[in-house]
Amino acid sequence: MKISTKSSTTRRTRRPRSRIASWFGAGLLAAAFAPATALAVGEPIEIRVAYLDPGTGSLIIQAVVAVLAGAAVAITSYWRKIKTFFGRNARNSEASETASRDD
Amino acid sequence: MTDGTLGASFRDPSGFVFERDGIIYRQVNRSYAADYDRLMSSGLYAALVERGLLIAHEEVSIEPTGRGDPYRILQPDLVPFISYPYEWCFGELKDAALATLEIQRIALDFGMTLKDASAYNIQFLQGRPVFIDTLSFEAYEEGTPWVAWRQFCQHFLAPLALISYRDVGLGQLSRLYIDGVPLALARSLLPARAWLRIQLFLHIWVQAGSQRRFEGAASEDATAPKQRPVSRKNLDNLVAGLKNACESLDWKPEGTEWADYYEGDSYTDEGDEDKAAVVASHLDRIRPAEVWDLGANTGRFSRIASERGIHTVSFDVDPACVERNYRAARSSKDARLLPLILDLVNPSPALGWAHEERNSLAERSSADLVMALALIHHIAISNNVPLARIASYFARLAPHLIIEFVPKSDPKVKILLATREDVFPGYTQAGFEEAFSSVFEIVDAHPVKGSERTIYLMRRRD
Repeated sequence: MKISTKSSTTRRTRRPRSRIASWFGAGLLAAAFAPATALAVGEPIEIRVAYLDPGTGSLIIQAVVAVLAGAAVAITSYWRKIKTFFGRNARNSEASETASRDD
Repeated sequence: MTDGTLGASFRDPSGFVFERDGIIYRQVNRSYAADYDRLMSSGLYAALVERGLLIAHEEVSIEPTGRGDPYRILQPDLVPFISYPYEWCFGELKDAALATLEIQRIALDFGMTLKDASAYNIQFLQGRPVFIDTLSFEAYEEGTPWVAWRQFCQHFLAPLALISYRDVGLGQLSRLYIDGVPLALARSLLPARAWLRIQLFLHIWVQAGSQRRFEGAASEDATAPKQRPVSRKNLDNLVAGLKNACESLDWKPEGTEWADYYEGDSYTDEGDEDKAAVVASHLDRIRPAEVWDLGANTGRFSRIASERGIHTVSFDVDPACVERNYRAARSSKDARLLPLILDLVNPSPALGWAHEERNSLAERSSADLVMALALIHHIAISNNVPLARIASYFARLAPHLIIEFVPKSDPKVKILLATREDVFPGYTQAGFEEAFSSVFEIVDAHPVKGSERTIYLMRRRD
């Protein structure tokens, strides 16, 4: 089983930025990709039920949530890559600054 | 039940669990034969057991109970102690959630899906969360949604989010709602900032809204709502999104009453070592197979038992202590230690239909020895429970007892009595011995060095 090995401190410092990213992601998805989402979830199926319990509402919305959840996962993962890229660059430049001062 | 069928096991037509001669069996009914065969022959069973995610079983040929239409009888590996989600700390619930999602992810790769994502299907075995319901898998058909999505969110995501964003005490909602925290309730309790997490927004806020919307729609107009197919790719996305949501939630074990207890402990180092040595010698003398440590704090004395290979359940009322205990056990790979949350003055009751679905704490006791160290004053003085009642309850739990008596002259008891009237004239060492002697025989009494406390070893009278 996978257990996250990231320290909670690292995750806490990241939180605000990834939240903003998620929120932007949601906005973008809702506004720009709504037609694509509609296509992705396919043709409706009739449900023949005498009455509906909360589970029915869950199953009806699941197709839409799955598409948006997947897009959000993708955005979060790209965002992490971007952060890692710039984070590494920042560290590299810090390191080279220190090195030059040592010189 | 008279035929040995266990009370938690009546909802699923695929089979049921029963007990015979102290051994737990699971009957697979003929109606589940196709799915069971697929689980076994597709390689899914082997893959999950190899990863330690699913309980291993053997097919046995014993006389069926006469109930249902038996296809196979399974004898699963023994789970030493059945624990419930309302007894788990945040870390245990989170690990159980991630294990469930990992099982669903792997199952999809083998053409199967979980029809059940109840937290009660997870038990802690060798320190790790393991799925115990072998009959929860069914063949996956392309386009079908995950039927257990709502259940997963109710049993795992909602309580994790409520603990993370609101209060650790909300983990106890699982005790109130046997099928998990209703999403509408979670939505109304979670703060607005929780919805900045897109996954929580989707899986809780949107799902709860959809449930409400379609309930209303059904009563107002006759047009049936439309369910759209969920492609395999999107089903993977749903599971990945849930995993992201669970992983992003965290809770820091601090700020509760007991979390930093050992930092301001009432013992001298000498007394502490003496106490550990006497506990160790009593354990070596009795050689119990299972120990319950009540009021274990972060499990310092529980480890004396677990390090001896004894299966040890380490109970404490403080979720922060249990969380620390669990994290330490997990990082040291202590397979014998199970830290759990328990309020001893209001222990887990019997719950569910006919009070038979979830057993009370005492019903689940298979302990050979109970430890109650630095605990008696909290029950007797803080909670006004008479000593004789404490003795009789402990006698119900196990045949042996290691108990520490903490006298009124002890600094910790002085603090307890500073803010209340001393209505405990019987709370003396002689009174304690008298009360416990009615149900226990005192085998040993050891005064702890550098303190006025005494550690007793007792044996239940037959």
